[in-house]
Amino acid sequence: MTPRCWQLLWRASAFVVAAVVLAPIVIVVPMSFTASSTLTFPPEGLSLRWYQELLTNPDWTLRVPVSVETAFATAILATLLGTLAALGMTRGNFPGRGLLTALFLAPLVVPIIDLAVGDYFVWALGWQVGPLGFGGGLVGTVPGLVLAHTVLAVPFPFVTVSTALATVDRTLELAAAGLGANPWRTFRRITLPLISTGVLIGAVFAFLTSWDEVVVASFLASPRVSTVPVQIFTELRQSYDPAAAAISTVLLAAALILVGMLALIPAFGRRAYGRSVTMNNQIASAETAALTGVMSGSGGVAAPAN
Amino acid sequence: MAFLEIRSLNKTFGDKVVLDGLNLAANDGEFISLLGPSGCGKTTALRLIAGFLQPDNGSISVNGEDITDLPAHRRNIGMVFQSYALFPHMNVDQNVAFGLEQRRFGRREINKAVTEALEMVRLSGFGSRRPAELSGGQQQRVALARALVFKPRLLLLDESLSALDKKLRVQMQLELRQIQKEVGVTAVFVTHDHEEALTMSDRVAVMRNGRILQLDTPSNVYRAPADGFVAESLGEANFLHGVVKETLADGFVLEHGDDMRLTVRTDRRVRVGDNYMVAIRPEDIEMVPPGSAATGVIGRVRSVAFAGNTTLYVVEALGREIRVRRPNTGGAWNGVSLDEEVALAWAPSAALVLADTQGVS
Repeated sequence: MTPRCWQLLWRASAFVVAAVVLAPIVIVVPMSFTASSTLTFPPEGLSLRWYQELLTNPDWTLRVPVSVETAFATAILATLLGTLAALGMTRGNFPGRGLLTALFLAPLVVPIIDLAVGDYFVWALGWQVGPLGFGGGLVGTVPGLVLAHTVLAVPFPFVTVSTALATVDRTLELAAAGLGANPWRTFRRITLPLISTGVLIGAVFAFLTSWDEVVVASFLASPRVSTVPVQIFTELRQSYDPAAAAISTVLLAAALILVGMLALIPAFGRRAYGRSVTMNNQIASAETAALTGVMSGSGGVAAPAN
Repeated sequence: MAFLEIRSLNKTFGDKVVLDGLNLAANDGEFISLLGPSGCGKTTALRLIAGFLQPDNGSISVNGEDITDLPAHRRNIGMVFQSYALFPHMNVDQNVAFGLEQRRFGRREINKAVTEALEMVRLSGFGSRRPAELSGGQQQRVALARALVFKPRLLLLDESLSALDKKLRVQMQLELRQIQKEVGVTAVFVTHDHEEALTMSDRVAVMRNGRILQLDTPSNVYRAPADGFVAESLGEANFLHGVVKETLADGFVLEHGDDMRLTVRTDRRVRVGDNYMVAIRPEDIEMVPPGSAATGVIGRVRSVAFAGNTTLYVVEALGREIRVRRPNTGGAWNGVSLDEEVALAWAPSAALVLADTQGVS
């Protein structure tokens, strides 16, 4: 075969793989516009009745605020903790840093069902060590969901902020101190602005981690307080409710918009930092790290709809 | 009492002694250079003065105030880094204003001071540029303006000119020194470039192994180095190690190598059997027709290297290779050619008699 044939073959196989990966997601979108009362493909007729259903049926209207609240609170908490952890690991110098770093990344590799089972018992029954107690009565509450999701989400801001910090020249911090800035103001005026891209990317992925999380949430949800992905799962097991496809499409759109916003950041970065090569490298590497990380967490967007 | 006083400063990293009882005193408005090879502790000394590192013991005081335990941000010391360390996310104005903002100056005062500082470094109109949009020399000037705008009591310069190309560096040396004089700030300048240290400083401190070997005016350290290391730090020299064989009324005879003897004129009192080292700078040696030199040193030209304003000759004499550097201004015996026999002559004061030290060839 000629090299040109090989090239075509590679390209074709790439398209096939992409199609197999994307097909289940793409199918959800047209199915959500069906006029029929069960999920079918191809969709019968065209209507927005299932989107209307999302706005009226309490099964959905009660779930959306829980999901949004949980995801926002998780994003804020995980970004705060992840940033602090990254600062400690890159700026601190103490024994056991390697072990601690591994622990911060552990939620990425620990089987999620283990976390879910552990969370469930501690959240439900509480954990008593001597006079110190934690948990109990947290199942079926938003704080319970937020705490559990924060554990899952912390690795993302931890990785993106660590990557960003590694590219910040320490002499800039010394220079700021020399000019009279105390450690907090040095962080506020110099370090934080320079790692802001990493912090933002970490926050977006922390948000998405909670937004489409179904395993831990289904353990910690109650009939009264539950999240959208858990509800989708429940609905589909009971009936082929097209509303599940509609809400999946909404989740997908939200995720796409957030990731799309991240794609705009390098342009923002170039404008803000002139022709600084370091800054663009930082953004590129932070993005790569974040995207590699998120592959393990994403993909769940459409999974419950299958 | 000196304006800046550093007393027996010690600093170790692990088991490596970086500063070994450093003492330094600088007068108000003085420009002092710390000169030495990498690893001699000069940058560590600067970072201790700035407060970025804490000494193991010893003290630093400025204008009578002990600042040894003061954190960096409360020392009121301006610093220009080798990499300039300009904040990449701020424009020139914001960079220069940073120190004033930390001191809670009013907006109007800050704007006025920033404008004046940028005028001083001839960068008026560059205020809205980002550091990445400036050349190396311009970045250097912004760093200088930023370090001086809040009227620090001390200015520290860490190899601040070494990132510039040679022509710009020489220009910046003069400019920097002029600004420092205008402002009247006491400055400590770290460098490994002896020409830079000699050109710019009121006094040069030559450092080795965490100590200052000699602190004196540029001409004194150059003309009367304390030892061979200092002599070599400040420029090339021919070194002859030997033993005093015979004392004379106005000098002595040095025996070096296998039965090679050299008569040296000096005021220094020496005894027969003492070890001494004689250093003669290449530019202090003249080449004259054989037989006409008072030194009686005869040699043969082994190589001739044209270097623009000077020519470097390597002459085989005194049982070794002697480097001779002559200005290319014409003159009878400057045009000697290869393998020619010449006599080497120098003024008696050009032969520097030094205590014999290790590690100098």
